[in-house]
Parts: sequence; C-alpha cells; structure tokens
Amino acid sequence: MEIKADLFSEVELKYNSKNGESQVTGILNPSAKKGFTTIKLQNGYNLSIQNDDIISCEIISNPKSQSQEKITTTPKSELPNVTIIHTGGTIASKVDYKTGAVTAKFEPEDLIDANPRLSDVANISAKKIGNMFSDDIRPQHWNLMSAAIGDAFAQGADGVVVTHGTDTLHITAAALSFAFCGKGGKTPGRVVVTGSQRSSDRGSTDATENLLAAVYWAAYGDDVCGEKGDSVTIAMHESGSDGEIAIIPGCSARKMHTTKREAFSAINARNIAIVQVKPSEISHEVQQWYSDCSPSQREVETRPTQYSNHFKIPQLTANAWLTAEQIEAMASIGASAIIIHGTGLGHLPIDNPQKDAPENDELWRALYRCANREIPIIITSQCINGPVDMNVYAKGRKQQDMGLLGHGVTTSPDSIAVKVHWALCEGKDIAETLAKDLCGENNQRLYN
Amino acid sequence: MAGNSEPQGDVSDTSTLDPESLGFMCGIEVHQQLATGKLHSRQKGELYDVSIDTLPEDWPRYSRRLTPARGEGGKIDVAAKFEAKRNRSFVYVMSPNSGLIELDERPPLPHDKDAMDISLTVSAMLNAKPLDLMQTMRKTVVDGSNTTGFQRTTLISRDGILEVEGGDVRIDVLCLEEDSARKLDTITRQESVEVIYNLDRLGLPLIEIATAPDIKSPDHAKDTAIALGRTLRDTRRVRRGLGSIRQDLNVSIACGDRVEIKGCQDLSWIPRIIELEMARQLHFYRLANELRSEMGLPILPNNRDDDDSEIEQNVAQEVSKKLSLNINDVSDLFSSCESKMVTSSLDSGGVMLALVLPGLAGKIGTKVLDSQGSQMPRLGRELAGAAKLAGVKGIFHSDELPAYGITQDYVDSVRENLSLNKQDAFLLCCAPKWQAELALESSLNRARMAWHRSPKEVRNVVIKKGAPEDGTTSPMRPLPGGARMYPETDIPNFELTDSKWKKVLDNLPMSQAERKSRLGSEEMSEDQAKQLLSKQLDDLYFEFKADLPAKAWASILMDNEGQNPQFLADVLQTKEQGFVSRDGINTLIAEFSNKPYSMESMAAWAEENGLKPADASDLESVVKSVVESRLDFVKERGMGAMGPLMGLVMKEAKGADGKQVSDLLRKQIMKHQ
Repeated sequence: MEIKADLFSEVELKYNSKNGESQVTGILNPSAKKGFTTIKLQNGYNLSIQNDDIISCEIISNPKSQSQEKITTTPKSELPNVTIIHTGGTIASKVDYKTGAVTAKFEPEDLIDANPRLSDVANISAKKIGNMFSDDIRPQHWNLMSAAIGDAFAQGADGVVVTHGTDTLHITAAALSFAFCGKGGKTPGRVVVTGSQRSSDRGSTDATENLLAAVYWAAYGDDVCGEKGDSVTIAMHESGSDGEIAIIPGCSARKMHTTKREAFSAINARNIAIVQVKPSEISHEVQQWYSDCSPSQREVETRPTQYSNHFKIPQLTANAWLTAEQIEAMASIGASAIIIHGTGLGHLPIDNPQKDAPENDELWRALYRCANREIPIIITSQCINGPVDMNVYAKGRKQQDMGLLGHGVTTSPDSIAVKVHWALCEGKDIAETLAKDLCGENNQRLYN
Repeated sequence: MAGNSEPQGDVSDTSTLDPESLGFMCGIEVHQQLATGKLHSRQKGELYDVSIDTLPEDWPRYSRRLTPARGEGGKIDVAAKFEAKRNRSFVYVMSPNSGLIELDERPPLPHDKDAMDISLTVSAMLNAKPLDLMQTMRKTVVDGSNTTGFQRTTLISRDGILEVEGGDVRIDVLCLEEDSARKLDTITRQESVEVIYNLDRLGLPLIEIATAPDIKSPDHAKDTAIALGRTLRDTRRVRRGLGSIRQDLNVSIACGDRVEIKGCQDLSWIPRIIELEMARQLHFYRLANELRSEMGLPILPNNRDDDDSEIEQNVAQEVSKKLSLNINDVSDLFSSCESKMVTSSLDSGGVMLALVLPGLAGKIGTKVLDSQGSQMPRLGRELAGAAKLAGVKGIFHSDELPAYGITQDYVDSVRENLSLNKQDAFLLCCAPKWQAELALESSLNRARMAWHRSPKEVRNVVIKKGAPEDGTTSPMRPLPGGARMYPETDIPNFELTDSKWKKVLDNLPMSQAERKSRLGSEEMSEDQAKQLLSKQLDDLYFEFKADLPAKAWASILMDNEGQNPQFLADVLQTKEQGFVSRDGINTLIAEFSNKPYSMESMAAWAEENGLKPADASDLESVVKSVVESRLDFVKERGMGAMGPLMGLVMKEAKGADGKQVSDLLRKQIMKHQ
C-alpha cells in the first residue's frame, strides 16, 4: 500500500520483510526509490520498504515545524566590507538530523552561522545570483557576475568574493579577468572566486577555510594592479592539508584533479600569495615575485566586457582520430574560431612521410582551406603546462606558414578559449590579441 | 515493583545489589571486524604493527581540522561544540593500505561484496529481517578518527533474535560500518592539541549488532556477549585476535541513567563491570539527595521516569548560583613548589588555575576500595574525568591534598589566597592557560551535576597494562543528543533481490556443534579434532580428504597451514602409494611447494633423492646384518641399543621409513636378548 501521510509525519508501519513480518516506527522521509516508502528511524538510519510489502500504517503525529535560532550581526566600523556573490555549489549547508535533509544556505546570516569566524574578518553582505552546477554556466552568467561585482563595489565593498562550483571555476575567473582587465583597466578592488571540493555538510569540508581565506584576501589583500592576474584571483587549498590556501591568478589557473582539495593550480604562472588559516589568527604571505612588481597606472574599468553568446568557438583535440571531416563540419556551422589542443609543443597530424596516411594529407588540406577562409585556428597544448612553440620542429614551422595561430603563447588552454571569445566580443584581431599579455595570462618568463 | 521503592544495597559490596529490584536495564553492542578488504575503498584490510616511535618516515602526513557540523535547528551538537573548544587539529599518517578515499580526497566506492555477504549471512543466522533497500548513512563523528568527519554506516537488518543461555535476547539492528583510524599520539601545544592518527584501520568493515535491553543480569550480559561472538565466528569470515571484536555495554538502573561502557574486550570482566556501574549510579543518586537535603532542595524520585523537569531546572539554577565559574590564577603561589608535575608544567609556559567549589569539602572523596578491591565511586574521579576531556593529564582536588608533592603549606596558601572557608573545596589544574580553563570549566559542569542523577554518557573501562584495572570506568564524553545521521549521497542504495537473499539462506555456515559432530565420526584423537576446529581447517579436511587416512591427513594439513590443500593431499597420496617414505614427506613438500608437479614427478624425485622407502625384504636383511655384526652391544644394552642402531640402519638404508625400521629393529633385538 502507498502511505497517505504528510512528509515528516511520525508513522508506525507493519510490513512483510524477506524474513517474516515486522513492525517499525519512524519519520516519513522523501522516498529513496520509486515504489518504496522511506522512514527515518529513531536511531538515525533510513529504512526503505517496498510499498507492496506494507500491511498497515498508523500516523502517530503530524510533522512538527522547527524554530530556528536567528543570528543577528551588527557591522563593525573598523572592519572592511566584503560582498559574497553566490552562483552555486555548497559553500554552506545545514543538516537536519531529524529528517536527514541537507539544505544549501547562502544568506549572510547562514554563512556566518556556518562559519562564525567570517564576522571577525569582515562585515559580510551577500547576494545570490544563481544556484547552479558550474558546468551549466554560460557567457550570460559571466555578465551577471561582472554586473554584480560592479554593483558591490559601487555600494562600498572593499572586496568581493564569488562562490562557484569548482568544475569551471577557473574559466569564470578568466572570463571576469579579461572582462575587467582586457582593455587595460582593472577591477575596482579585489575579486576572489572560491568553492569547495568536499561538500560543506561534512566536518572535513574545505569550504570553511577556502571561504574564510577568500574573504580575508578580499578584505586585506594587496591593492590590485590588474596586470599580474591579481584583479580576479582564486582561493583554494594549497595542498591536501588544511591551513594554507593558495591565492592563484584567475587568468592562469586550471582544475587539475577531479576530487582532491588541492585541485587548482596556476598554469605557466605562480601563486600570488598564501593565506594561512590558524585557529587563533589568519595571516598571509605575499610571494616574492608578486611583491617585486611595480604598481600599475591602470584605471578602474567601469564598463567590463559583455560576453556575447552568439560566437561559436569549437575545440578539438589533435590525436589519431582527428579528421578533415571534423574541421569541415566546424567550418560549415560557421565557427568564429577553432581551437585545437595540439600534442606536445602544439603539433597536429598533418604529415604523411610514409605515404600510408592519406587522412593526414586531407586534414592538412582542410585546415589550410579554413585558414584561407579567415577562420582563426588557434593551437594550444594538451600538456597544459609549458609554452606552445612552433619553431622547434619543421612540423611547427609548417603550421605557422599555414596561418595557424598560438605560437609562443603561454596562456593555459581554458584561458585561451576565453581570451579568443573576449577578442571576438571586443572586435580585436585574434592574432594580435593572442600575442599580447592582457592581464598576466601570457607571461613569457616561466619558472615551472 | 522494580525501581519503585527506595533503592537498596551497599555500594561497597556489590553482592548486595539486586538487579531486578534496582530496575536494571542492559543491552550490548558488539563491533566485529570482518576478514575482508576495506568497506568502501578496495584497499587491503590489514593492520601495521607501528607506534608513534616506529612509524616509517616515508608514510605521508596530512594535517586537517574539522568544522563543527550544523545540527537540528541550526544548533551545533554538544559534543561537537566541546570539540571545537578543544582546538584540536589532526595529523593523518597514510599507511600503505590507505589512499585518496581514506584521506577524504575521493568519494567512496560501493560496499565490499564479501563484507555485504557476511552481514547478510549473520542477519540470517540471527533470524533478522533484512532491508529491501539499504541506504548508507553518514554518522557524525567529531574526534577526528574519521577523515571525513563522519562514519559511513548501513543498516542491513533489524528485529532478530539471539539464543542465549538464561534467556533469548532480541536483536534491534545489524549494521555494516567503517572502522575508525587508530590514534597514535596526542601532543599538547601552547594554543592547541594535535592528535596523530594512523589510517591503516580506517575503513575496515565492522558488523555492529545491537541487542534490545533484554539482558536480565550481569551474568546474562556475559552469556549474551559470548553467544554473539560465537555467531559471528561461526561465519569463519571475521577477523580474529586482539581488538578484532569490541563490546559496548548499555547499562542503567532506575535511579540512575543510561551509560554506554566501552572497552569490555575481556568477556569474563563483563559481570564485574556491570555490578560496579550499578553501584556507581546508586552512589551518585544518594550523593545527589544528600547534597539536595543540605541545601533544602526537593529530593530526587527513586525512578528517573518520575523526574519533574521543572523541579530539575530549578535545582540546576540554584546549583549554578552556588557553584559559579570562579577560576583564579594561583601560579605565583606555586613558583617554588617541589612537585615535579607542577614545575615541569609551569616551566613550559603553563599556569596553575584554581576553581572554587563552595560547600563541596568532603564530598569529592578519596580513594577507598570496596569489598572486592575495586575503587569505590567518588565525585573526584568524575571531576578528573571531565577535566581530562580537555586533554589535561588530571587535576588535584582539596579532599585528597596534601599529596603528589603539594604540601599542606600550599593547600593553606591557596585557601588563604582565595579566602575559602572550611566547607569549600577547590580544584587545581596545571596546563597551558586555554586548556586549564577549559578543563576546569568542564569539571565545574560535572560538579554541578552532582545534584542530579549520574548523567547519560559514554564511559571507558579503566585499563592498566592491557587489562581492566579493577572493573571501574571513567567518563569519556556525553552521550550524543539523538542520532546524528544523514544520507551518504556518494554511494548508491543497495537493493536486496529475492535471489540474493535465497543464496544467503542456502549457504548458511554450520554451527560449531554441527562441525564437532561431523568430525566425531572421523578416526582421529579428540585433541586432533579440537585443533582442526580451532584452526578452522575442518572444511578443507573434508573437501580434500577422499580416501586418505584420517590421522595422517589431519596432521599434514595442520603442519602445513597456508599450503595448497590439493598439493598436500597429493603428497600424502604419494606416500600412501609407497613412493615416498613418511620421513620424506616434509622434504617433498619443501621441494614442490608453489611449483608445478605431478604424482609421477614427485615419485621420481623422491626416488632420486633417496626418499623412496626401502623394499621391506631388503630392509629386513640390512637390519639383520647390522644387529648381527654388533651382537655384543645388543646383548649388553638390550632395548637400549635401539637408538644407536636406528641411526646406523637409516644410514645404510637411505630413505627407509623410520617407523618400519624401528619395528624391524625391535623384532631383531628381541630375538637376541
């Protein structure tokens, strides 16, 4: 039988198990599977019974509404103001042990309630502009974020933190970097993007320290110059241990591990600072290279780039399966630019030295045709780390002669895609833009 | 009626305590490690014999902290709050059998198949009702013993029955859960405490079985624990040895309240531990009423069910007015103290703090033994236990001073300095300031509870040199307020199909009694049968026996544990067919173990290496000639010549069967005597 009772009512069920009849009392929960009734037992476990096996159900009591203590905070004049812009992910959540429900939280009070030290660091205000998985983020969402960032600073924020799902966190950071700094400007203050690799419902979450460090850097970090990837940064764990959070240039970062806390790395760039979160205090250490930089004369960008989602920027990977048909298909859909992740230094399978790989010849022809039709083809590297260099081998020089772009670039693969998109939106020449270092994403001095 | 009259009995003599009239209630929880791989990570389920001093340097270490989880109504659990105050950080040492999952750097994998199978098997043995859909839960754990901050646990079955001598006991639940990490060390720092854990045990599968509170007496509890252990061992798939099974006792009497006692590994101690707990709860009930009478407060009813929450709240208010948080730094008074405990702590930056407990002089108690030599319950022990929760080694209290190198002069100067009168007691704690404060605050809370029943809490059996000291317990932490569980969303639900359950029922293990009677009809000594059972080799014995002689087959199997049983059976067969002598068996096993072999190749090798038994008639002539050439010697020594001649014959008749030789030799010697 199917239970006719409100969710979270207390019920007593008589049921048939695989090993005889039994009786049980618990709180009705959302069903764990279609055709099953799930109750939470007093000992905390969830028990699911097939509806067909339920003999009888008695409602003992109806759901009780729970009162929640509200925490009120009064702003402290001596503290900086930080606005947290929420886009998604579970940076703060609450577990209701009675029902087993885990709910995401993003009101400022909830954030402070979950992370009480925040209120010692800054006066927190919060704005929710979405609650989505980061893999669902599109260019229009970057525009929402840059508008919200502008508003926050206009309303007196000293820094802004963006909470974000981690999968595409670095792409958003790059998009915001180019939006504010691509035309030679900078953000009005520090913008820090952060997330968590372990959900915030658990004691071991990295969200607590990541958010604390992000707010701390937004409040107390060095003044932004806009040139060294410092306008928009990423705050995530530096290692598998707690206590040290890396401040990574937002235009040169990438998620390098699916699950670990230390998933984010600077690519062809170095961390800007380490924020140390200790039980008694939070402090930071700016990396030497960054403190050696001379302050810039950049103006605050008041009109960040609006990303249009009309451009088509397909990405392909060079490998044994890349064929001319794929390139031709991209051209036929009207690609605005094609990005190919080359092998090693940036190579493609376009030679046929043994005369036994006609597909390579065909691919070469297709690429050549595209380049002639002025569809920009940009080469980046599957190695992720290290520069694209098409001078070393004849293959690379041949690619340059064909008009393929990207030689000499140190921009990380995801940043390149965003940079190309930015150039298209701003009507800039792609080749010239790629060669430039707009905000620290194409640093030519590599150290690792 | 149980628990409805004033509880009787002498706390100093537990034999005077009658469980029934005291309203005794008791249930057992056992945690049994399974002999499988880890539950959710596919890592090996092995433990490493290392301590903090012998830890390999190349085992990586990670440092973490835990964020207190948000509980009901947004409140943090009491235990979690205390934990947060303790300022603990955790260092996890990665043993070779721990990876990203143990480190909480990767989501868990579904249950180990064997572990699930064993859990279902035990469920069936206990006639429990398995769940159709099993949902893994996260049980919040705040002591850092799980890298995640929770323990993964899955309810497998419920509502079973255990047959126990002295009365059947119902089984409430059977769960399959992860074991915790092993604590290696605790280091106190100036502003925090660091706990170091080894990850080798983390994630090992445990079956948890909790009985209903059907246990009627301390002895019945022991019988229940024995029956549970036997049921689990009957599966032959559980880990054995020290620490592989852990028993927790839930005990209460009507005038006390429920405590969970951990660390009852040695089952013979269970009755004593329970008796002492009954005495302890009775003592604190009586102390509460003594204290209440002195303050003119309403006394406690003799059954906790009759408590009036309003009255209890009022008492609590009165008591907290009397016992306020009055902590004083008295380090200066102790600057020239000769107690080593004090000086070493003060020298390393610690402070000596004193907490005033008005009106408690003489109530904290000193160490007195009961009629069986166990320490009698006293408030001092509970106050010290509460302080230890903050990580300090202990406290001094005024009822036991002067002692521990703190002389009367110091006691007097503390009393004078704090202007105490005769009825006032005080506690001293020497530690880093944050820690001493937390310790004394914790003791104060416990002291206030002296006006109430003994609190609901988790207690630990006091262990000395690996065994219970005297059966008494010390407080560990408050019982968690309600279950702190929510679904583990990273593991898909496990659906139990009819065919899977049928397979479990069709493959139930034999009981120990059935195994015994099966071996009873075999031609072997009782001792051999017993050994086969205890080494759990009886299944192999029957599986590979065929027509081998019982005694010889049992010995070869037991002498060569871990060898391929088919190989052992083939070796014995080679011997039975006369290709190798009895004495050559071990050499043959050593030569062919873990190598390809055939009966022919073993026979050939035995012959080549002189292990083939000599032909009986040849052997007889060898023996004859040896005896005849030494007739004088034989006549002189008689049967005493056996030994020396044995060696000679064996030398000449290489590969001869020793038993055969000795039979022939005996015959020949007897001829000439």
